[in-house]
Amino acid sequence: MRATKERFLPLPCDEPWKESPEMTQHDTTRTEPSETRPIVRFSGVSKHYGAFRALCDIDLEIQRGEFLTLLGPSGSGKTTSLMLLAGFDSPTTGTIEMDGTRIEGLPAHKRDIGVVFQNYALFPHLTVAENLAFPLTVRRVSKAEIGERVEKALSLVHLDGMGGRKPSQLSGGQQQRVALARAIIFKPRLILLDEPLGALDKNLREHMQAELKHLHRQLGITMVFVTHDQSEALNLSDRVAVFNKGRLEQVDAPELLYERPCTPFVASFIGENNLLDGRVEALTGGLAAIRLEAGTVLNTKVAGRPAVGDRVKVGIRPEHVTVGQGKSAFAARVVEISYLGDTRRVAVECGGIGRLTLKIPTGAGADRVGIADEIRVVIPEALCRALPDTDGA
Amino acid sequence: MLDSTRIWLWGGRLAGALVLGFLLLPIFAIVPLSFNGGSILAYPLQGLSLKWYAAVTSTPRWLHAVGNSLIVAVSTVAIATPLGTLAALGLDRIQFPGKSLLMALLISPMIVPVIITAVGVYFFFAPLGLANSLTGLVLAHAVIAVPLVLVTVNASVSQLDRGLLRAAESLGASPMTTFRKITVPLILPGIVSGTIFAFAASFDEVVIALMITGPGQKTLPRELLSGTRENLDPTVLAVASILIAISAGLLLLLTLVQHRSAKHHT
Ligand SMILES: Nc1ncnc2c1ncn2[C@@H]1O[C@H](COP(=O)(O)OP(=O)(O)O)[C@@H](O)[C@H]1O
Ligand SMILES: [Mg+2]
Repeated sequence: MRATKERFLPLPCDEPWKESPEMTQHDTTRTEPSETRPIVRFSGVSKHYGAFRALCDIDLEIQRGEFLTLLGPSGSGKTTSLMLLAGFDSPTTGTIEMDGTRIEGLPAHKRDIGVVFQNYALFPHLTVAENLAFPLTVRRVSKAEIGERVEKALSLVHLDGMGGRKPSQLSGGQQQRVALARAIIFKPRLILLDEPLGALDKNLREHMQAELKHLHRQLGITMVFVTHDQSEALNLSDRVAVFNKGRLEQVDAPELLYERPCTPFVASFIGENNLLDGRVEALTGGLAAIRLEAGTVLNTKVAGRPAVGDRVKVGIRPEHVTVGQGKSAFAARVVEISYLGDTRRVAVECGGIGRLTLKIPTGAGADRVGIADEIRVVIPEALCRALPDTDGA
Repeated sequence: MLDSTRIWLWGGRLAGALVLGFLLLPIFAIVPLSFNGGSILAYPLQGLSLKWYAAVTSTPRWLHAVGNSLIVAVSTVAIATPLGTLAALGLDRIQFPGKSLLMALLISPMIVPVIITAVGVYFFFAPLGLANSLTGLVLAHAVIAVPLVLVTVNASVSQLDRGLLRAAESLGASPMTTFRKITVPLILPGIVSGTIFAFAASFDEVVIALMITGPGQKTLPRELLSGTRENLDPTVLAVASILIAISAGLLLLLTLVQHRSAKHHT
């Protein structure tokens, strides 16, 4: 078990997180010691509910100031991870460190972590201003300063003059902003957001994404965001941690996740992918010769460190497979076409390869294919990636 | 089709009005008689007068009874409201096998006939020297009032959004602060309703009062009962009308509280 895990260890982040030039909004004294140390470190964290393993052996570092997204299908353990970090639950095994100190036993109210809940969790009996003042009042901030900071926070989320309203008098988007402002106002060490945009309609969601991104850049605060929406994750994040069935599959910058997935799950969860079953026949340099089950041998890049004979899945994105002639083209028969406006998605049955999906841009000339047409498709081997077949292992 | 639904609608309204009239007529029959100028308990009224109300306020035994009733009701509430509220909160917080059984046990005084409770309490209290005392009456009333508070507060607590408590904690509030600033204000309508029910239950209670109190501790309902048996004069009706007014007032207060809490939750 341990050995398999080592082999496909998530790559470390290639891209350093952005350091905000405008740290004025934020308490800089806190970040002075050890600028480069991760703010949070999960080491071997598992969470079991009875016999059920909600989280399995999670190793994750959260860098100071980054926007990290936990991405995964429903039930993959994202909320559980967040709750462990927020302090509403404690791990079955493993340790969680914040700023170098273990915090598994620290109660939530002493962690200094702002949380934005999916249903906002605004206090219905308090006004917007009182909601924002709440974390300051419990910290015994002076009345005058509270007033000032509430005003500032309201204008930060474009809700000037709304302080006197009750949460029930606000729209969903406005409540969302109040929740965000309330999590920010007390200058927490980091902010956790659990699917905060899930309940908003599409336009508002995109708008809030932009605002969130802006706010992150403006405040330079560490944000941990949870979503099951891959496009939201790619759009917002410095890095994305992909969860599947309680395991952490890969942590990387969005571009790397898309271009260099490390597991079949990541390859198909982030964007679309053709996954072809095969075995490693030979390894040369960074490349591997993979014999597909349908017979063909492809020379592809590899993820992780597979051995000769290992089962793999070869991933190739639909937009990378093209219709064309040439020596390396494969004969294929069109079995399905769906028109998507800007592209056509064409499924073909390809000799020696298997079933493949292509994405052909509309008006590219090559898009005039019909069902049952015999065509030739080009598979650029340089863009293929052999991924460890974890299901077959 | 439309006509038949109309008939049903109006038929339903008529039936409703009849039932309501049946329930309220006895009450409305009493109230005007308490303003009767004469001393006969029958219609037609012989002129209007407030003299029976004046008689109530100038009769020591009525004043004494009012005082006793108020002392007992307020003391009952002072015991039952905290106990019922804490029980509701505690039962909500923990899960254990036998939880619904314990709940049933706690609200059983609401279901057991009052006379049974009264007899039981009498035999239990007499040796302890609590019979013929207001203290005994208060304790007995607390027994029947706690379930009322428990049930109403329990309803409020079960509506309470756990997420709000977590939110408060994440914002830095200790469990105690969270309880004071979030839990209590949000379940306050339930606590107030429970308190009103408890007060009304004690203020109107006559069976236990008959059992436990002696001549020195007569409460208003008890005095009323003996009043109707001994010398039936319109003073009794004036007292009854005052009781009705108080009950109506409490009911109004209850509606107001529930209306306000409904506004929070939308
Ligand atoms: N308190 C709990 N008791 C039992 N199972 C739980 C509990 N909390 C979460 N789970 C289970 O753990 C898994 C992961 O849940 P969660 O972290 O909420 O997923 P996500 O947020 O990724 O959708 C789910 O299958 C869920 O049913
Ligand atoms: Mg979740």
